[in-house]
Amino acid sequence: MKKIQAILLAFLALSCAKEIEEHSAAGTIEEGIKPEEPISVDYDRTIVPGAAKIYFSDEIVAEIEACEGEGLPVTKSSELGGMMAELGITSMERLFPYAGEYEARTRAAGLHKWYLVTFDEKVPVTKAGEDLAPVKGVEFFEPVRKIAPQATNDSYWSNMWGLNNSNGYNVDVLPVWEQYTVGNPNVVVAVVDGGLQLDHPDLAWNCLDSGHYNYVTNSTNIVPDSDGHGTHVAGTIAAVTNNGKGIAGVAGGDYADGRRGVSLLSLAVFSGTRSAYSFETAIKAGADKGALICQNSWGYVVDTDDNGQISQSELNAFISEHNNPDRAFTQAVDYFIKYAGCDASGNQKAGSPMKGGIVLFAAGNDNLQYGPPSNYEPIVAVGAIQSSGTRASFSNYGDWVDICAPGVGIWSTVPTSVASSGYVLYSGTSMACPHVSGVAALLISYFGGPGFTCDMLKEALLSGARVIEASTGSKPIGPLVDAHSSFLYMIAGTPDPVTDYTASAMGNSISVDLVANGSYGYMAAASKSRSALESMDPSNPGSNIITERFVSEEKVSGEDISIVLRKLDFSTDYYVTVVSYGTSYTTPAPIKQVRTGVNHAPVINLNPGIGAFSQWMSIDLPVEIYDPDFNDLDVSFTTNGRARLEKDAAGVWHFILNCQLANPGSYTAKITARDEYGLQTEKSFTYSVKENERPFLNIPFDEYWLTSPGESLTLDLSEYFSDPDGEPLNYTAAVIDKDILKSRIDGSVLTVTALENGLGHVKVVASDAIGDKAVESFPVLVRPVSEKVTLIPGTTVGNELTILAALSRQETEISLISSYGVKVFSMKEVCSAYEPVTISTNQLARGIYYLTVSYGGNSYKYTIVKK
Amino acid sequence: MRRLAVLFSALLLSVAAVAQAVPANEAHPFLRWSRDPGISGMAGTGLTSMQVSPAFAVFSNPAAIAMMDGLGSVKASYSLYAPSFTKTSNIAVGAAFRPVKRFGFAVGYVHQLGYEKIDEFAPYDFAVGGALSVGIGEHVALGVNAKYSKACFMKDFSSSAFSVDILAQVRFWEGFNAAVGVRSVGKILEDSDMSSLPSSLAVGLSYRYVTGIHSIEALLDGDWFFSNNWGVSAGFSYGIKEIGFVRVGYRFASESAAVPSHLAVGLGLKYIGLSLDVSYITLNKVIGNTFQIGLGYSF
Repeated sequence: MKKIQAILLAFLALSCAKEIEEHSAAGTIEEGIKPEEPISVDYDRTIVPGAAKIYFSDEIVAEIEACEGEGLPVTKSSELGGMMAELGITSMERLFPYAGEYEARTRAAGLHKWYLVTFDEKVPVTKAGEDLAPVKGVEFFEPVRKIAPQATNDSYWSNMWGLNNSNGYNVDVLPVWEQYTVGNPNVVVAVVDGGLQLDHPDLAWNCLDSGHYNYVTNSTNIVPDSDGHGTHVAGTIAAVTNNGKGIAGVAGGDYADGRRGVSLLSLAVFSGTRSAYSFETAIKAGADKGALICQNSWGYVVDTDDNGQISQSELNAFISEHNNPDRAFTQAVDYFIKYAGCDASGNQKAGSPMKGGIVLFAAGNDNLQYGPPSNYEPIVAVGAIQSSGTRASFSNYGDWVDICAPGVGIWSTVPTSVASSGYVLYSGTSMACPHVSGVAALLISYFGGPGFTCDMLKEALLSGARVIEASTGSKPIGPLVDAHSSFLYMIAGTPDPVTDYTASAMGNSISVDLVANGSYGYMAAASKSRSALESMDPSNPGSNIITERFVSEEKVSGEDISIVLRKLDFSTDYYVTVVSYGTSYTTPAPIKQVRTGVNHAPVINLNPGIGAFSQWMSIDLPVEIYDPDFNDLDVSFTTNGRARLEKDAAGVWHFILNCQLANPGSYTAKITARDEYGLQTEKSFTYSVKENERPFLNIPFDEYWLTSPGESLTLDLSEYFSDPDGEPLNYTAAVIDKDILKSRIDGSVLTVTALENGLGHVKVVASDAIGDKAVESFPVLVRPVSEKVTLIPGTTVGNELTILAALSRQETEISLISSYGVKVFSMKEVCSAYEPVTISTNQLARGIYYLTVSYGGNSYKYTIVKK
Repeated sequence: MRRLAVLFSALLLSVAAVAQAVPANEAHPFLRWSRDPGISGMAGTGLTSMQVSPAFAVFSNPAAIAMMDGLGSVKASYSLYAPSFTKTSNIAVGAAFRPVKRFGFAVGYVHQLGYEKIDEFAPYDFAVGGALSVGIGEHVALGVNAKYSKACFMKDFSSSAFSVDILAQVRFWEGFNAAVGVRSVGKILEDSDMSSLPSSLAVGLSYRYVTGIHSIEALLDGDWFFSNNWGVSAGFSYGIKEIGFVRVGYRFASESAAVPSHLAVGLGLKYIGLSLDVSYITLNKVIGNTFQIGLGYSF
C-alpha cells in the first residue's frame, strides 16, 4: 500500500536555552490551546523543503543499485526517471547507508529500500508526493520533518533533586550506587540529540573514544547544538560522579574510586542551529555501533504557524492525519530493538551485556494527550514530574506514557559556549528521559550478560517503577522510575538451581529435558571434557563447551522444557549439565555422561490432507519434516503444479497451494530433505485440483405470504443453496418490486420486509469463491387475510390490470364488463395470487367497468375506472 | 336530388374508411341506447317506426321528423337501468316539431345517475343534442342529429364527445319504410383519449299494416359498427284501435357490440295525443330487468 503523507508535520522546537523563571512558558502552552480557533494550518512550515524519504520496490531498488554500479545518477526506470527529472532531483542516496557486516540484517529489515532524495526547493513537497505517488515502484513517500530538542526553557537549579530529593520523588539511585553498581563502560548509550561536547570536563571520562557521528554534516566532527541540549541530556545519564566537579550522572561511575560509568555515544541530529534529515539513520546506526540504549529527547510538534502556541485547530488537524510515526522511523526503531547487542547473525554478540536494545523517548512538552513518535508502542515513553511529585504542567500525558522521571529544573552539563560554567538548569521531558536511560544503563551494567535481553531490562525498569500521584488521574504519565526498586525486582527474580533433569542422545544431538522451576532461562551445556564442565563459568562458558539456552519469559513452573545441544560429534561421549538463570546464574546441575549415536536420515511425514482439492480452496497444510538428530536440513520441493513448500517462523513446513490460480488437473511433487551430513530422504506424491462446480438450489423456495406492511420474512439461504465443492457461498439479494418489498442480507440470513400490498419478487444470487453463481427468485405476496383478490394498481387502472386471485392455484374466471353491459374481457384459467393474470387495458376506452373474479365457488366483484 | 344523394353516399364512405383504424373498445355507448320505451319494448328497432312518435328523434332517426304526423311531439322517460347489476337510473326528455311541411327539428337531453360512489364521487353521464330534418318530395326525408355527450367517472376525470347521426328515410308505398345512414360518428374531445365512439352504418326496415281496429308493425334494424361489431334487432307491435299496443323485440349482437343481445317486451297506451309506454328487458345477465317508462304528448 502506498501512503503519501502529504500533510506535513513538524517537530516541536521548544528551545531549551531559557531559564527556569521562564518556565511559565509551559503554562503559556496550555493557555495557547484555543478551542475552535479558526486558523490557517501551513504544514509546509514544519517540513524541510526540497527533500523527502522514498521507499522503493525491490525492482526499483535493484535498478538503482545497478545504475549506481554503472555510475548513473538515478534509475533506468523511464517513468520514475522522468518524474525525478521533472522534479529537479539533485541527489538520491540511501537513508540507511551501507552497513558493512550488518548490511545483511539491514536488508532483511527492508531499510535499504529507503532513499533520501533532494530536489528543487521551488517544488512543493506536497506536489512531489502527489506526482510520485502513482509512479510504479514508489511504495511510500514521506517528507523530511524539521526536528528540534524536546525541552522547555527554564530557570536555575538549586539542587539535584532528581537524584536525591528529600521528599522521595527521585530516581532512588543512591542505594544502587552503594550496593550494586555505578555503571559499566561496556554499556553504550546512544544519545540521538544535539552533538555532545565530548571534551566537557564532566563528561569526557565517559565518552567513547570513537564512533560518534554528526548526521547534520555527515561527518565525524561532533559540534554541539546551539542550546547544548544534547550535552545536557548526556550529563544526566553519565556525567562523571564523585569527581569534585559540577553534577553527577545517574550512571556516571565513581571517579574517586576509579570506576568508569556507562559509555556515551553521540549521534548528532542537531548541530549548531541545524537539524539532520536523517534522524532515523542515527537510530539505526546506534545498533550497528554497539549501543544498547537509544536515548531520544525530541519529538513531533503541531505548531504549524510557528507562533509558539498550539491551537485546537492545529491539534485536531495533527491528530486526525498524523497520530502515528513515520514508517521509516518505526522501521529504524524496530531494527534497534531487535539487533542492538547482536552480531550479524542476530545472536547476542560475544561480550555484549544484552541481546536487543531499548529505545526511550521524551513524551513531549505540549501538555497534550498525543505522542508521536514516542507513542509508538515498542518505545519507552517518558513523562516529566516536578519535585513535588506531580505531573509537570507541560508534560504530555496518556496511557501511552510508560514511565516518568524528574523533568523540571534539572541541572546538567552544557557546552561552555552555552554557559561559561558548563552547567545550566533546564526543564522538559527531555530532561526526564535521560534519567530513565541512566537507570536502564545501571541495570544492564549489573545484570547484563549472556542471556540478558532487552525484554528483561524493560520488565525490570517498568515493574520496579513506583506509582505516584502523577501516575494516575485524568492525565497519567506512568509510574516514577526507581533504580533501587528495579534492582530489587531483578534480584528477587534469582531462580532456584536445577537439580533434576534427563539427558539423552539422538544421533549427534543431546536432548536435555527438565521441568521448569520458575526461572527466566535455562542453559544446557555439553563438553567432551568433564573438568571443563566442572569449572564452567556460565556467563562465559568457554570455547570447548557447547551451550544452548531456553528462555521462559513467563517464568512458569512445571512446564516441560527440552533443550537440544546440536552438532556434536557422532558416537562420542559427552558430559552434560544444565543451569538456570534469571538475574544471575545458579549452581549447575549434576553432570551426566551421554554418548551420541549415529546419523539418522531426515523424516518427511506428509499431511494426509494432501490429495484432491477443490478449485476454490487455499491450501495451507503443515508437513512434518525434521531431522531425528536435530541437525539442520536442506529441504527442496519440486512440482509441475503451482504448489510450494514454505517454512514458517516457528520452523514448521507448510504445503501451500492457491487452487484458484491452478488449472484443474493432477500434479506430481517431490520433497527432498538432506541433513548437513549428506543423508537425505525423498518423498514423492501427487495432488490434484478439481474443476469448480456451480452452486445450486438444493431446496426450492416456497411462495411466501406476508399479511401486512412492516411484516418480515427471514430465510437462512444456506439451507436452500448448496455447493458441490463444499465451499462457502456468498449471498446477495435484490428486490425486483421495490415499492412492495425491501430486503436485507446479513451473511446468509435474508430478511424481506413488506412495504405495501402487492406481489413482489426477490432475486437471490449465491456465489462461490470462484465466482460461479446460482440465481433464483421467489415471490412474496403482501395481502391482508381478509383480502381475497388483489388488483394492481387498484380499482383505477391505466394500461394494465393485474389480478392476484387465490393463494393456491385453481381455476379462476375473470370477466370485465362495461357499465352498459358490454362484455370487454373474459377468461377462465388456472392461476393464483403468485401466478397473477394481467389484462392489457391499453385498448380499453375510458369509463367504468365491472370486474368479476370467481374461484372456489365464490365471486368477487369490483368497480374499476379506466383512466 | 341526385347531387344530394351522391354527397350523402360520399360522406358515409369517408367516415367508414377512417373508422377502420379505431380501437375495438368504444366510449360513450349510452349514445346508442333507446330513450323511448315504445322503441325499447321492441329491442330498439326504432329507425323506421310509424307507430312511435319521433319525440326522441335526437337519439334515434332524425329523418323521421319531416315525415311525422302532426305538428309535434314531446316525451319524457325514466329508466331503472340494469337494477341487478349497476342500479343506475336515466331520465330523458325529447321534443320534435314539424312547423311546416317537409321540415322539422328536435331537441333532447338524457342524464344517467346513480352509480356507486368511487372515491366519494358518484359518476354520471349525460347527452344533449338537436336535430334537423328535411323532406325531399313526398317519399324521402333526410335528417341530421348533433350531440354533445359527457361521462364523468371520477373527480377531475371525465370524457366528452361530439357526434352526429346522418340518416335518410324512404317511404316506398303505403306501410313500407326504409332508413339508412351513419350513427354516432364523431370525436372524443380529450386529445389523450384514443378510444372511439360506437359509430355504425345503420339500416332500418319496417312494414305497418292496419285493418279495422287492428294494426301490426314489423321492424328490422341492423348496425355494422366500425369496430367490427354488429347488431341486428327485430321488433313487432300489435295495436288495437290505435289505443293499446303490445310490443316485443329481440336484439342479437356480437359480444362487444355497444348494445348487447337481449329480449324486450312493452306495452303502450295512446289517447287523444297522450301516450304512456313501458318496456322491460330480459335475457341478459347485465342489463336484464331494465325497466323503462315514458309519457308523451303529440299534437
